[in-house]
Amino acid sequence: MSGFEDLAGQLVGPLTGLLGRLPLPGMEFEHNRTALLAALLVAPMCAALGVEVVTFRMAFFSDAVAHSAYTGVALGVLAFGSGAALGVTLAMVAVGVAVGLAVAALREHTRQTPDTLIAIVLYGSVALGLVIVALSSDKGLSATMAPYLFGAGLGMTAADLLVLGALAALVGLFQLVGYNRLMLMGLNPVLARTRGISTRAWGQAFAAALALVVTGSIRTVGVLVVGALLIVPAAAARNLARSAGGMFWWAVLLATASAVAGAELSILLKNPPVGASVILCATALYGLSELYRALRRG
Amino acid sequence: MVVSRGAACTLGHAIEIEGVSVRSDGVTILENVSASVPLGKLCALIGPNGAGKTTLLMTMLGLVPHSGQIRFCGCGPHGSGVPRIGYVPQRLDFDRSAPIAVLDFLCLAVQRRPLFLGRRRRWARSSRAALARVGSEHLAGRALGRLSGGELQRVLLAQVLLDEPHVILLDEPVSGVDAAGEQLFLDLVREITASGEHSVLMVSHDISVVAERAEHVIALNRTVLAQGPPAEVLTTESLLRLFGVRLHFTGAREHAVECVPGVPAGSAEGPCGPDHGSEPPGPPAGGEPRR
Repeated sequence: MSGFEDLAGQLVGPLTGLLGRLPLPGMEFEHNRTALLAALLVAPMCAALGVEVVTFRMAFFSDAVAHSAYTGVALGVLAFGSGAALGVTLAMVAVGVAVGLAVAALREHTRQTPDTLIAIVLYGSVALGLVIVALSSDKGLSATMAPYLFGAGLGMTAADLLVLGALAALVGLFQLVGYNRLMLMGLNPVLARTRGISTRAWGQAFAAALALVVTGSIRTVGVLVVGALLIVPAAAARNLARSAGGMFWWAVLLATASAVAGAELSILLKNPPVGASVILCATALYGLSELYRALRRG
Repeated sequence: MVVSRGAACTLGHAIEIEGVSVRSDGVTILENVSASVPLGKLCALIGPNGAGKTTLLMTMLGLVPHSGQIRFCGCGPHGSGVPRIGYVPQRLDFDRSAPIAVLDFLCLAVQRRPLFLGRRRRWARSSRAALARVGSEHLAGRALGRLSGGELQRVLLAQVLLDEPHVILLDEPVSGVDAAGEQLFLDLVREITASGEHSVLMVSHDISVVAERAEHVIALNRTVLAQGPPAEVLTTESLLRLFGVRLHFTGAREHAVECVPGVPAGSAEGPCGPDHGSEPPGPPAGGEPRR
C-alpha cells in the first residue's frame, strides 16, 4: 500500500508542482495544489459524461448512484473497518455499479416508469445504509462517513489523484468509442438499433461508466452534490452550443473554469468544501448561460 | 449500386416474409404473416390501428423476436447477405432543445470518430449529398429541433440514404406533416424508388395516397388479408374486410394535389420536380463553417 502511495507521489508530484507555478493565490501550499488538481480531474470528467446524462434525462439516475455510495461506504467500513480506505472505496464503487446496473436491468423488466424505479432503488439503498450505520458498533462510523458526504477536498492524497487520473483516462476512452452511439441512442433508441447499435449493451456500459465516475468523484466532491457536476455544466453547455461536438467542449470548458474558480473560492474563503464551491461556480455559470440564451433570443 | 438477387428467392422480390408470427405477453400481434415486397418498387403496407404494421417493420429490422422466416433477397446469394435496411420512424421522438445540427445528426449515424473531434470530411460530404438528394441542402446547418415536421422527415430520409440501403422502411412517414410537405416527401420517395436501387415498404393509412403512389399493396390485420397491385387490393370488399367499414373508393384521381395529371397510379416515373437522384455531391467539402 505504501508502495502505491510512493508511486502515486512520484507520478502526481510533477503535476501539482506545475500547478504551483500558476499565478493563483494559495498555490504555494501542497494541499491547495492537490485540491485544485482533484477538481481539475473530476469536474471535466463528470461534465463530459454529463452531456450524455442530460441527453438521456438521467439526472435522477446519477443521483441515485451517488446516494447509494452512502450505503457502500457503510458496508465497506463494516467489512474492512474504518481505517481501510481502499476497501471502503471498493465497496462504494461496487455498490454504486450494482445500483446502476440494477436500475438499467429493472427498466427492461418492469412496467414502472424510470423515475419511479430509480426512486425505489435509491431510497431502498439509502435506507439500508442508514440501518447499517445505526446498527454498527463502530462508533467511528459516522465520522468516517463525513468526508464521503461532503467531500474530502483538501484531504486528498496523491493516491486519490492517481486513481482519479486513471478514471479520467478511462472516461476519455469511453467517450472516444461511445459518444456518437450514445448521442444517437439519446435521440432515438429505435433509430440507433437500426444502425446496428446494441442499445442494451451500451445502455448498461453507460450505467456502469456513470456509476464508476460518480463513485470515483465522491471523495472529492461528496455524495450530496456530486450529481450537480454531471448536470450543471452540461446543462449550461446546451444553452451555449450549436452542435453536438460543441456541446461536449462547452461542458468540459465550463467545468474546468468552475474547477479553478471553485478551488480558489474555497482557498480564499479558507473554509468551504471544494466540491460545494466548484458547484456554486458552475451554477453561477449556468445562470449566465441562461441569460445569454435569453438575450440571443431577444 | 445494383442490387443482386438471391437464388433462393423468387425473382423480383426484395423481401420474402414467410409464416411470421409475433407474440408478446401472450397476445398474438402477428399470426402467420406471409408476404413479399417487390424489388425496386414502392410497396404500401395498410391496415387498421393495432393491425401490427409497425411490429412487422420492427420484425424486419430484427428488433422483435418472432417465428417464421424473413429473407432479404436483394443483398446476397440465397437471401443470405446482410441487408442494409433504412428506417424512417413515424415521428422521431427526441429532445428538441438538444443543440444538434442536421449535419451532426447525419454524421452521428455513420461516422466512427466522435463528433467532438469534428466531422470527417468524407461523411460531411456524403451527408450533404444525401441532403441534396432530398432537396434539403439548405438545412445542413440548422438545429434538428427547429425543423418542421416535413423537414425532419426529409432529413430522416437523407439519413437513411447515407448508406445506400437495399430496403427502406417508412412508418407512416407523413403523419403529422402538412399537405405540401407530404406531397414533397411522397415525390421524393417516388424518385428514390424510380432509381430502382432501393425497395421501399411504406406504412400508410391514407388509402388515396396508396392507390396513387404504390405499385404493390399488402393489407395487414394481424395476418395478411390481401396483397397485390393497388387495383386488386383496394376494392370495396377487401377494404371492408380490412377496416370493418364500407369505404367507397373509386381510384387514385381524387387526391387533392396532383403533379402531372394523367400519370397512371403507381407509375415508376417521377414526374414532379427536378431529379435529384443522381446528382453529384453539392458544395466541395472542407467548407465547414461550424464545429
